[in-house]
Amino acid sequence: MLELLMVPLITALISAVFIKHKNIVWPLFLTANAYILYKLYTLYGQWELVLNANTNFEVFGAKISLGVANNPIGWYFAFFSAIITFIISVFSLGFNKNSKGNVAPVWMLIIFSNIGIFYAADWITFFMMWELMGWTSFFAITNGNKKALDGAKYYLALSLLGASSMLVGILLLGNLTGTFEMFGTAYGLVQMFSQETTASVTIIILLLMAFFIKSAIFPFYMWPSKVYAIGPEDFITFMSSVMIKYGIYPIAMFMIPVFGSIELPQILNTGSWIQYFIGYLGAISAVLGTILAIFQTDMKKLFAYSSVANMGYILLGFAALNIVGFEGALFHTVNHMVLKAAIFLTLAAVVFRTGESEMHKLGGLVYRMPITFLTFLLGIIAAAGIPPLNGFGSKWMIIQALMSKRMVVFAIAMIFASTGAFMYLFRALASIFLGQLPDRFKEVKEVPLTMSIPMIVMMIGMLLIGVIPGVVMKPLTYALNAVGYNVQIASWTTLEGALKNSTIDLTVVFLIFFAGFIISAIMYVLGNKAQTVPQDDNYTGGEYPEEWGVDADRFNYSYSFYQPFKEMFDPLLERVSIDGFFSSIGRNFEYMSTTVQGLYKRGEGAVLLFSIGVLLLILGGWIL
Amino acid sequence: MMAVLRVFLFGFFAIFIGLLFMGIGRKVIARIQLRYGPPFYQAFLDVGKLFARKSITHNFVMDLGMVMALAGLVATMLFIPIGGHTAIKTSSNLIVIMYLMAIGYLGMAMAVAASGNPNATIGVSRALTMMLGYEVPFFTVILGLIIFNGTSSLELIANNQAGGILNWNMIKFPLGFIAAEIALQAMMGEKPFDAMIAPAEIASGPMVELSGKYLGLAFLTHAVSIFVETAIIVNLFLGGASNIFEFVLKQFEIYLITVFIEAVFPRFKIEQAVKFLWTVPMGIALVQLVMIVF
Repeated sequence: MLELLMVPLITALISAVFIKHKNIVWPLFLTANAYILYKLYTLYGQWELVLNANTNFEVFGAKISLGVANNPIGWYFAFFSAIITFIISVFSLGFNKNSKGNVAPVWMLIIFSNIGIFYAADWITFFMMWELMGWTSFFAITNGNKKALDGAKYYLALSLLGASSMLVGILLLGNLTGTFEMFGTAYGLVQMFSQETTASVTIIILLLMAFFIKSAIFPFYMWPSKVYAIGPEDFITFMSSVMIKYGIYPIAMFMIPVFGSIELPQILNTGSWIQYFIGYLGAISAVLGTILAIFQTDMKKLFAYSSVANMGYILLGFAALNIVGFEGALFHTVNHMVLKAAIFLTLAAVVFRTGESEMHKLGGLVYRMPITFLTFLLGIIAAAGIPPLNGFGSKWMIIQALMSKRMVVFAIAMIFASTGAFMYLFRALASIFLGQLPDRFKEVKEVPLTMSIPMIVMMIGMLLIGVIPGVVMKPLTYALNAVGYNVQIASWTTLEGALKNSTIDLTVVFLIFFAGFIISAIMYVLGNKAQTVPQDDNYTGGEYPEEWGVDADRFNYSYSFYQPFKEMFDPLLERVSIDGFFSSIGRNFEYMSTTVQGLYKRGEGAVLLFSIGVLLLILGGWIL
Repeated sequence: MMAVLRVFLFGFFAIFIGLLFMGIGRKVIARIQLRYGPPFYQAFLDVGKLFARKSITHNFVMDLGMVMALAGLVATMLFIPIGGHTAIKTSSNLIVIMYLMAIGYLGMAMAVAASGNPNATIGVSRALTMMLGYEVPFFTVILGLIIFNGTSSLELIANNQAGGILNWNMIKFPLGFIAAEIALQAMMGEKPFDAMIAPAEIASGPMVELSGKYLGLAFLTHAVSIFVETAIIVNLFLGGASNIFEFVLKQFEIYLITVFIEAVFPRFKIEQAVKFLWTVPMGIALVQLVMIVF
């Protein structure tokens, strides 16, 4: 347990010392990740492992102790994120050969806080790790790049907002329940809920706000698009697949058991208001993320919004508050980790080779980067939730859960979002890899071996989880059993739905698809042979594009891909802009601070501060 | 061995019926428009000719995509119960069926976008927009039926309607049936929802670069998609069937309705089509859903 925390810390220190030597730092980074992965693998099943440091301090009568414990749900998150991190760190080896900055030390600190967050036994440790992660990720995003500062500041401001609301929530929670331990507070909160409803609801809202900010749930859905567009691509891969799940883990670990235990009146016989509250936020995130993703021109922004939509699905799974929805949400967490990592690795590969992330400036890269293309193809099939790849099983479980709970609005939102996903995913595929290859990318080569091997591994992973969901579902159900949920251990191939006669065998689905493929391939082989023609040999209605000055770059339909559709939504999107709301708050704050500053400069401020202080003192004395 | 034979039998049966429907559909349209029309077996001749011709391809994605398109739809078809028979014993889950269909469309879209012709890509962008248009009302109807029956198995929903025409969901939920029919029209890409093909505007959209066996595969894909989509409607609303002959007859009725509408309507612009689908069928479907749930 201790070495699991010490190794990343020491690695971070060493790599900070050798920061100039890339061929020391990145192999070290890889080794440390491999060790963490191995260590986590050995920790499976040893749920009684704890590491505690008691202090004599007390806050509000609640004793402060710092501790980490090997808890099963945390292990589930930590283990799968360690796998992804390991694969990304292999990729980083090649990717960072000619990068300017070096994020390895900071990144290693985030990996340390990653383990801390998933293994924290009490809220104080959790908060410390959370803050460490928030601050260090700011430095990892900017990475010495001045242009990145604006987006990173936005992220930092939101992180601070989340952290402060969480701190207040934690203190209130400690005050209410008399302890800071995770399980203790959950138990206490359930006990106190009926007597201290207002305080409990305040705590829940404050904590949820912090978690929603980190997981980019509506109304905090803007930061991924800002941050992903500017950060170093390999770190962004880690961020989009692992870091965005930090909000999901405490919801699964703390919030859902609490919501499941407190008795609230049902609305329309389907769910309580808390279910509808998180459900609507999830549904809005899913729908809004999808619509915004459809209109992006930058590929990293597009997939940032896709992440927002996926976080929405996970929240919808939680909103059902039954075991199928819960399992589906946790399953989707890992599926999203895998598929988003695969997609972002390919984007990183494209940026590595072309230096371009605007989709309409790319095109036809399949001619030059076939492995990247195949990874991306499988990634988007998985992201669209199409069998036989991963992403389908978990989405299916979430939809089943929502349907069995008769939450029709959420089910429709889910279908809207996952059908809309075809639109933006295909748009990315068509604009980046298909179509005409522009002349300036004629010399582009496939990425080197250290980068293509991780992509191939991701492909295998997506297919494996898609065909044999038990690889993830078995550890998940064992972990849930160990925590005390009454769940059946999942089988290797089948998934259980929530409705009558709704068991699907994903291996059979794969075999049937394979059979279809064979039939189709037979038809293909039966046909007369085909001749391969150059990319620009197209039907153009008898015209010669060259005569019109149209080169391969312009002979591509990829800018404003969904223009008619966009025109339908423009009036709505102009009105719904959280960005505008935040910037108005910012303006007001600026106005206020300049006013106060002005007062202070002229000497009146000192008087004002003094009088406010006196007033506070008097008030404080009067209340206490 | 038996299972493999069944799979092949079902796959080629669907292709056969789909092509037959296509041929009869052309004849019916011709008669409505006071033309003589091609013989009813014209679709078979077309496919035979196309497979015999030489063709051009742009890269391996085009080949892969076309094969994927037909594979996705054939796989979907193998899931659907046909008059009490299924190719392979599964729970015939509706959500699986809907998503498996998508892989066919994705394959087709990928293949034609790989050709690099802007007309094809415009066609695909319209087709995907249309897809968002019709999937939402269609799923809303399905959602109502799933909640009513308490299962998402197509086979069970079909079996629950046994015992006479009055038990059919078509009679019990007429509004849902109407909404599903409109969505089906868009799903099949027939007029007034054929903005993605639009020969006069974008040179048949996705088909513009297809030749020889690629166009033949596209024909077969369309044939299987006709079979799959009508079969879903028959199972959902017309109570399935006790034998295959009856089942195909019911499918043909459904197909005739879409052909009749196709024959007389002009074309929506894509945004008009999506707006229409999100207001009229969606509204009807929501009314039906509210009636079922409450």
